[in-house]
Amino acid sequence: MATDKWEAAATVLSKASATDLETVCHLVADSLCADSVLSPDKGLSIWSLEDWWTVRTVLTEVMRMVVGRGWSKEKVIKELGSLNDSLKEIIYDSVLVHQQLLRHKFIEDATAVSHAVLADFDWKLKLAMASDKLASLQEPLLQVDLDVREVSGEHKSVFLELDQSELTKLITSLEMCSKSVQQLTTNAT
Amino acid sequence: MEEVDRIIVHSLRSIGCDLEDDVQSLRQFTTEVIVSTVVRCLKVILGDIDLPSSLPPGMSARFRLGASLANHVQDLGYKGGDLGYQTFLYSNETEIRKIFMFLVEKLPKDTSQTADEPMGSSVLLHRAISTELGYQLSLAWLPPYLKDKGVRTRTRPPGWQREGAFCLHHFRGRHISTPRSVGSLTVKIPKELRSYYTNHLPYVTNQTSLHRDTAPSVMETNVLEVASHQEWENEWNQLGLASRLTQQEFKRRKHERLMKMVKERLQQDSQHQNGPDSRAAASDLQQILSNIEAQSKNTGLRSKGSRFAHTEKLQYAADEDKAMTQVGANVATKDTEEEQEKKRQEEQERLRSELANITSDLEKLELEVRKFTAGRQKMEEIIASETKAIVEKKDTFSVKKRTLDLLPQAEDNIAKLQAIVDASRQRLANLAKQWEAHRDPLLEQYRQLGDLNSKRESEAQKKLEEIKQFRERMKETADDTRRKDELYKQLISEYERMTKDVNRSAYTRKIMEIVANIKKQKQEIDKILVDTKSVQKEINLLTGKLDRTFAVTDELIFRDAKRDESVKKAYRLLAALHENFEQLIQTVQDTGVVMREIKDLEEQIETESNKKILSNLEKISADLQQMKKENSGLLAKVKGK
Repeated sequence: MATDKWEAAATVLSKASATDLETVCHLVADSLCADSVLSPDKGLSIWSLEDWWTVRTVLTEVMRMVVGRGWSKEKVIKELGSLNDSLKEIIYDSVLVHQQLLRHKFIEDATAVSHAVLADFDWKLKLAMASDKLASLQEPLLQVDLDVREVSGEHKSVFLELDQSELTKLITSLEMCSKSVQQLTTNAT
Repeated sequence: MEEVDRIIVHSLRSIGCDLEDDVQSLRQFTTEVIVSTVVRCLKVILGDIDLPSSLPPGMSARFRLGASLANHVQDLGYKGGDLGYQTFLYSNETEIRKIFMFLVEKLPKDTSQTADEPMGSSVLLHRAISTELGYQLSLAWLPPYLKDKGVRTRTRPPGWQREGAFCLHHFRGRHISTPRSVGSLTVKIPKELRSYYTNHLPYVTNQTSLHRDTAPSVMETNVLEVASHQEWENEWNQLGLASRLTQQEFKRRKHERLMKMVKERLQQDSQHQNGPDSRAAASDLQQILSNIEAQSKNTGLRSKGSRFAHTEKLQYAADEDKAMTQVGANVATKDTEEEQEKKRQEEQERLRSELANITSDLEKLELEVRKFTAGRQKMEEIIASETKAIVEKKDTFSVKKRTLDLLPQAEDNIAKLQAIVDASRQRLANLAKQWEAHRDPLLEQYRQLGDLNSKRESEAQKKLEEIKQFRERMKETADDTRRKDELYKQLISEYERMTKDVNRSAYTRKIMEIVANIKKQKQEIDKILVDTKSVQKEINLLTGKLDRTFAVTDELIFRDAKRDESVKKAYRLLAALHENFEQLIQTVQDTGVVMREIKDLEEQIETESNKKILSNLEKISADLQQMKKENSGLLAKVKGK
């Protein structure tokens, strides 16, 4: 099944020269890592739009397999079928270059299984000089914006405004979290 | 006096009086300057006051101005002698100095007071914020298209500020890839990675889709690196050092441990899932049962409802027989239900008793099984002991057989055996000796090695402790440095504020000098006073002595004088002598008084001469002439009309 699909892609892929294919491979890997949209400008000089989509999906699939399933070079060469061997090698090498980042990205996607995931945050420090009750207040306030990704893929912003004691409470709880995370992580490969 | 003058001149300048740069003492003040500075002082002290700040040309106007100035100063509570227009218009140095000292003291002091307060960083910050806000408030509004990305630059005071939320955007970091381990030559970079770095890796500025995200992304990447490094350092300090492994080994161990933990967790979870599944099934069953029950209840209700409906029908139809049959039918259906219930219960009972029977049977069987297994074990043990006994008996049998074989040539055999026994005994002794010989050095070596090992262990422990201490100290020192840096910055900013207060330290030093001088002078005065007192005492003593001596001599000579004529003469001479000397003393005292008076008068003369009476007199006469002229001019005008 898979080989059939990739047989079909092989003809499309062979349209490109070696350097072009290398560039495209890196672009696809980068866009996959950064979770960004890849513009088809680069590919349109070689392929039609439909072919470009095939190329993209095939390359993404190969990356998933090599990084996720740990395919060896031989396996890749076998699976890609009748494609020119030098092109296969280029694809495999370009995946190897990005292996670390891709792996990190896949792990992150796999671990973000809970209902809502913190995607990004921003903060701003303010000094409230006075309020409607007090002429001289001078209370520092921290505004924290949490960018939360829901399970449906939507992004929701949560705004918090914390004074000093609340902030220390938040920080201590986060520190405890980080401690337990530290116990559960290692960067040994 | 010069010091006082300088202070006065400085404070007059600080309130905005227009004084020449080379003016250093009050002697250089002209009438005009005096009037203008006094007016300025009064304006600062009293706030709104309607006085011309320069001397008017007309003589009478000048006179009025001087009089009003005198009034104002007296209103403020000046008590230094009589004050009038002449004090300002025909000034003399000492009076003017007194007035200025009084006025300078009366000047509002809020600026200098705040400078005296110790300034915390929060106060500094507050002040900086308020000045900045003040500046921003005083600026006029600008339309957004005149500002470059919401930033408005200003020239006075130089700086810039953001205005409006027009150009704000989120701080959003994206992942940025940069070449790694390129700097060190020792790390070998794979060929494909190198070609990627040289040919395909886009510049950092091109990696983000929006250019404004570049700076946040770079910062974020750096921060991430620093944070992860710090975290690792922390972990290594807390756990890694104590474990005494190399970093790679420590990481590897942790990795293994974690993998094991994850595996166990997953296994447990899968078991849990099997457990709850059956439980869930049971709960499902229960739910179904309860549903059935509810349904049966519903049917009961329905039947009751139907009966009610039927009775209603009956009332309207008034058909008794039908009603009876209906009721009967209803009762019958009810009966069958009850019967069913009863049947069910009976069946339940029966099943229950059957279950009890079966379980009791099962228990009995289990007991038997247990008994059997116990019997089997016993039997196995017996078999084992029997086989052991057989082996033993076989051994004894073979020994006995051999001895029996040896019996025919007993003597020879005994001798042979003896020889063998002796030889083996000797060999044993030999071996024991050899063993002893080997054992001692080995034991010694073992002990030494053990000592060495323990020593090394303790050393390692010590070194570990030291390393920990050093790390802690390192951190402390870093913290300390940071704190001191901050303090230094704060003090610098404070110092910058302080220097605006011109040569304050010089003043304090001078004040200290003056105080020291005064102390010295006081000491001198005290010395002189003591001197004077001692002289006074001596004088008193001598006078008393003289009086007493004179009284004694007087009495003595007086007694003798009654008898002798020559002594009478001597007595008269003594009296005259005494009188003369008294006169002399009186004269000396009078001379002293006169001298003091002379000194006083000289001082008075000096002060009077200081008052520039002559020049002032000339000025007054000139002014008088002018007044007269003005008067005559006015008269002429009046007559001319």
